[in-house]
Amino acid sequence: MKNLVKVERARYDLTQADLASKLGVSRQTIHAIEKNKFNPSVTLAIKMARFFKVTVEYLFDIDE
Amino acid sequence: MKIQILPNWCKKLGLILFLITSFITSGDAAINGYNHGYNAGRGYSQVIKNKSTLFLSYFGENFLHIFDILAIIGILIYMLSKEKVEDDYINKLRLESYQLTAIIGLIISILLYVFSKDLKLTLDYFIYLYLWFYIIIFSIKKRIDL
Repeated sequence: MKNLVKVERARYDLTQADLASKLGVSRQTIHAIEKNKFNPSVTLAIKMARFFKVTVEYLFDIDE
Repeated sequence: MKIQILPNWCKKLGLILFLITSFITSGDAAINGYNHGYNAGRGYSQVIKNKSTLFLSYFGENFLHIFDILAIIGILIYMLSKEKVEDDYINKLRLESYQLTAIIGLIISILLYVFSKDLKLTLDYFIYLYLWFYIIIFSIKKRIDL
């Protein structure tokens, strides 16, 4: 699964630690999601999309 | 299933308990090791017969055994304590660490059995093997981009 978390994070000028604290997860989680090593839960995906004010489909997409 | 049942501050408690008790239990071995190395370095080839029993004579064998158990409990507390932030990814890393620890522990046990059928080891070797391997693997997984 590919995602635009890094792009959106850069748009908001946030560090991984900043984003992690705002979403209530660990910095390692943000790092793993950005590197496509971990697929977030539905809850976290929705939280992220709401935080960045985008849709979940825009933020996460299936790598075909 | 959540196995991290203790709060984050228990990590420090477990670590302090482990450090203090392992210092006491390994004190004599450390002194003897230092003396042996020091004398070998100075070219004394004769074996020193009077080994240090400073901690053993002060605490007694039973108390040293209790301290050894407390050291194991200390690491166990550290292992069962929550991280500062608990989430799905940390849980995934933890489960992977348990899996890898079990596999490495089994491989080492099998190899020991294969190469030395009559080898007799006390249980504490295996307890420490599992506890330390888990802690090291989990720490590496958290820090290094694997």
